[in-house]
Amino acid sequence: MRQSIPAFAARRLLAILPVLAGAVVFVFVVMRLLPADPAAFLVTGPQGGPEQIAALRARLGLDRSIPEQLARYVRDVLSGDLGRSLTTGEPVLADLLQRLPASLELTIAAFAVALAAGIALGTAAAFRPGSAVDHACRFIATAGNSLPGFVVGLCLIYVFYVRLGWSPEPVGRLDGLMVPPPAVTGFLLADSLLAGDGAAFRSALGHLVLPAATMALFALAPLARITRAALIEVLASDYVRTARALQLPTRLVVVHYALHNAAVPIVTTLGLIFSYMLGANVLVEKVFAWPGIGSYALEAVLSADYAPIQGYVLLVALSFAAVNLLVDILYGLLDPRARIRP
Amino acid sequence: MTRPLGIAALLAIGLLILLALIGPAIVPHDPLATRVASGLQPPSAVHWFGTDQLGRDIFSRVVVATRLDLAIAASAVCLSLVTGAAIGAACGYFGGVLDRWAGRVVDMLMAFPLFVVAMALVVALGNSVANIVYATAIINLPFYIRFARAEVAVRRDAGYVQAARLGGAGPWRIVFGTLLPNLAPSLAVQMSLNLGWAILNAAGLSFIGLGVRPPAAEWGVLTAEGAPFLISGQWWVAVFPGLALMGAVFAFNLAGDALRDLLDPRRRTT
Amino acid sequence: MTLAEVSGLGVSFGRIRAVDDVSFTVAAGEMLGLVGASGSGKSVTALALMGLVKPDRGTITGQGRRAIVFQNARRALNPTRTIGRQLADVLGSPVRVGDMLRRVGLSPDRADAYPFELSGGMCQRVMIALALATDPALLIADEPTTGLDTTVQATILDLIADLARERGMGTILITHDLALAAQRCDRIALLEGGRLVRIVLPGDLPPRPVASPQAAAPGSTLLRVDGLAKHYGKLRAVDGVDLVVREGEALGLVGESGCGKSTLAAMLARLIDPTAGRIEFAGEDIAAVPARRAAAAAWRGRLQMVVQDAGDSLDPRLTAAEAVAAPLRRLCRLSGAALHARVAELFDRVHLPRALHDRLPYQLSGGQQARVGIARALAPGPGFVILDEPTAALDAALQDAIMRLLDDLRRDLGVAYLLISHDLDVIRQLCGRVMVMQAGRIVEAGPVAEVFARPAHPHTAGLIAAIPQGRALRP
Repeated sequence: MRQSIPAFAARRLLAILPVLAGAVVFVFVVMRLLPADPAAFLVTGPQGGPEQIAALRARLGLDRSIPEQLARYVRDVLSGDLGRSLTTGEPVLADLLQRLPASLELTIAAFAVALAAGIALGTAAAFRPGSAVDHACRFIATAGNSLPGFVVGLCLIYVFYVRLGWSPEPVGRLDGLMVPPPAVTGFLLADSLLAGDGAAFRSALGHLVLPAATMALFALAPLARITRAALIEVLASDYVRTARALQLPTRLVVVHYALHNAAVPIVTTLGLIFSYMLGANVLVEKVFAWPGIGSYALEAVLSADYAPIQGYVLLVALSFAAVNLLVDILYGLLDPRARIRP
Repeated sequence: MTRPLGIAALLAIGLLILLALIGPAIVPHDPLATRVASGLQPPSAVHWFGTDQLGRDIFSRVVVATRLDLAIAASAVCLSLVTGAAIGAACGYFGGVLDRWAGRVVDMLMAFPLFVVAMALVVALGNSVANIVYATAIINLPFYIRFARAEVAVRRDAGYVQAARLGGAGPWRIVFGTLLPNLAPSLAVQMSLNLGWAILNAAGLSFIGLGVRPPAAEWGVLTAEGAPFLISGQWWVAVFPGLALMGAVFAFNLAGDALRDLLDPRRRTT
Repeated sequence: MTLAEVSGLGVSFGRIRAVDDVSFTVAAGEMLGLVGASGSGKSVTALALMGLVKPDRGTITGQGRRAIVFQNARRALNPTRTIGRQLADVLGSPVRVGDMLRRVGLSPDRADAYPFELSGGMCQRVMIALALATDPALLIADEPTTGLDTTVQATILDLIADLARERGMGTILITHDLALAAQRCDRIALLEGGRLVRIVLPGDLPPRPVASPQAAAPGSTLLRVDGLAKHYGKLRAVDGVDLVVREGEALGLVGESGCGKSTLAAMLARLIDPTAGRIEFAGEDIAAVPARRAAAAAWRGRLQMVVQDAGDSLDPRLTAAEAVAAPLRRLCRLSGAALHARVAELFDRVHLPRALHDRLPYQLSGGQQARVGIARALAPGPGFVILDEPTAALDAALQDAIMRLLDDLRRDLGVAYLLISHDLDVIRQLCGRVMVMQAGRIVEAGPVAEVFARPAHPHTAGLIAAIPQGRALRP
């Protein structure tokens, strides 16, 4: 039976819950159980005697049984208590929420650019196989897969900041001395527009261009590749041949027979591409000193500060799940076969 | 376009393997010898890739790094190939409880961006080179499990498998004697494409300060060390190791594509 | 009125001449058959008529619109658009969609269905409606019934014929089945290798040779099956089958695709476990051994099967000789010179030149692959062999040769067959007794001649009626 769109979306939403539960368990196992003894890790320095370790173990609940620890952990996570960062001294949740908009702004900008460019490139290549565009597309698809994000970022900085001086100093989201616009959305581009602050908007945009380009380049390759392959397959399909034999108008054939069907495999890879981008985020944020959740997690990693890492991993899993949900729903909209209920 | 490029990629991989084997013996300078007086020199006839802030020869360091980068990637990929293919094939053929649990673990792993999982694993297991290998192997595992599982599930009722059963072959012989050997070519393609990815991943981890640590030479670490000098114009410290990394990954990806085209002309996409 | 006049048509793809100097005409109200084997150029001719490929020689003229119905209709329909919308795309508005659906025998409330929600036959009806919606004077039907069950095939062809008569349309029926064309068409153009051989009238074709029914050889019981069933959840793939195979006899099992005959075969061959029932082979209950341990059972070598689709049944990594040797090694513990000699003997038995010993499957032709599959099944010296559609993937001439080989082997070796086929003709050539299967049950059984002459079950009668008369003819 084919389901209606709302019913399908609701079922997908339900299907994501066990995955999220699994993610929480996974984080618990990896971050709490694997380290030989987190307490010994945390208590370093001269005051780290056995009593202190024992006291800390008791405070962290490490002396309890594993199921009990898991239950407490799940309770804490559900109540939004992700612990405190030892470095900033703030609750992890507050830290993450404060930095999330920066990462989102960067990722969304890069994703949008990559999506537009990748699909345009792949489409141009598919409609003219063997042409210069096609060769360029094939080259970019392979080369783009081989590019380490951090090397690309460094090269862009060297060319556009050091050599040409076109781009602002690659540190943060705004010029150092500039007063940020009042935070409404957390997205600087939107906030500066709302505040009518042209200078801040230009500065924010200038700072965004290079890191977004670095990340976009990363996502462009798989998108161009899948678009090209999907369209070529669809254009050679029996149903496009049927449409041509029936002499349907070209626009109708291209939009509703070719592009619609080619969109199905493209959409299903978006989740994977987004996952790559969330990973690349950490590296790009480091290179551009971008004050997002990636660089926050990185600081925590380097100082073995466990609570922020756990919080970060959970947040990333949550956003990945949300994107996958969107992708699933989009897939269901595009392809009725996805909505069959067995 | 595939054939000449594919051959070039294979040659490049041959060169990389050669450098990994004999690199330390043939480099012009001691990669660890510091001479602060001649620090940060641009590329020249003596120092082809210039020197870093401690006066170490970057060319020598880049060449010596080949061994470590390839070793990490290759051992990680082999580890995940062997375990992943075995688990996946068994899941695909036998189904049942094993398949359900393996599927759940894979889903759980895939619920995270894999680079982030690798980060978390290295932090949890301890910051060492061996753990970079394990972390890279673990995040590769889902691909091999899923790939082998899907391919075996498609083939488990194939005519030649039925024929083998009729010919007296038991389940284990069918999985390991009939099905896996038939997957070997496609697994080789996966492996080649995967090696590039594994190199990128390990270098990325080192770049952010996990795994390999200075003064050991590794492309990611070398790039990270050079990054601060980029702003002041000493580009060569970071760029040459970065290019070496890029070139190596590119070679493995091209070779993987060429191999795929060679083995399966129908699936030619790029 | 001439709807299409093709003269001197030539189409090339690169250096391949797909169609070479083909000429014919089609008049209003006429059905022309375009008959030939695959690669004879019949589909390319159709595409040229539709302007979908460019001819490099010759002319196509004629009056009125042309429309085409492709084979494999499900793939020829847009999978992500409802059939109503697809019809409206052609009509220009949704107003007459219901009307068009009714004309091809579909209910108008099917307009909201997607192609994957319709059966193959219904998809073909939609395809016909799409073609009709362009209001054609000439309808080209390119293998319109390929992949459909025999009974559905007949209804689709009836529909096309009725619509053509109603509208005074000309029709070109493209098929590889000469008997079918002879039954349906006014004139038949025979194509071979891209060239037109000749145009004949159905009456010119020689009548069908009479099949020689074999008497059932009475022997002792080899295989006895009681109440055999296989359920997948609610689906009853096989639902209580009883049967008996006697030593040295050939028993036929016929039914449409999906009737459960392949599941039954897999259970008898002990590849899958039945949900219920008993299989007694040479006095032993072989269903008691689970399928996953059947490989090690003592009777494994005596009960064999020739797996459907010879090409797929050969391990792509093994040479022909290795494929035949594998069961000998494991089941008969042969090795060295004895193994070698036995393989060579089997090759001779199935008339495979020894030069083919070291060929890999892809280096063998379809007929050779089928022979390797037969040799492999015979290798351990079975008393009973299940043949699952042994000739389905082969073309007509090869089919005959393989059928003759199987018949000879049965007589020489005294082996009993269970021959499974959807094609009654194949059964008639080889078997003494036949069973008819429908929806998991045996609905009729008896001597072949009797069942054919006086079918007792309506399903059997339908299957027989769907065979075009004179199928044995070859173009």
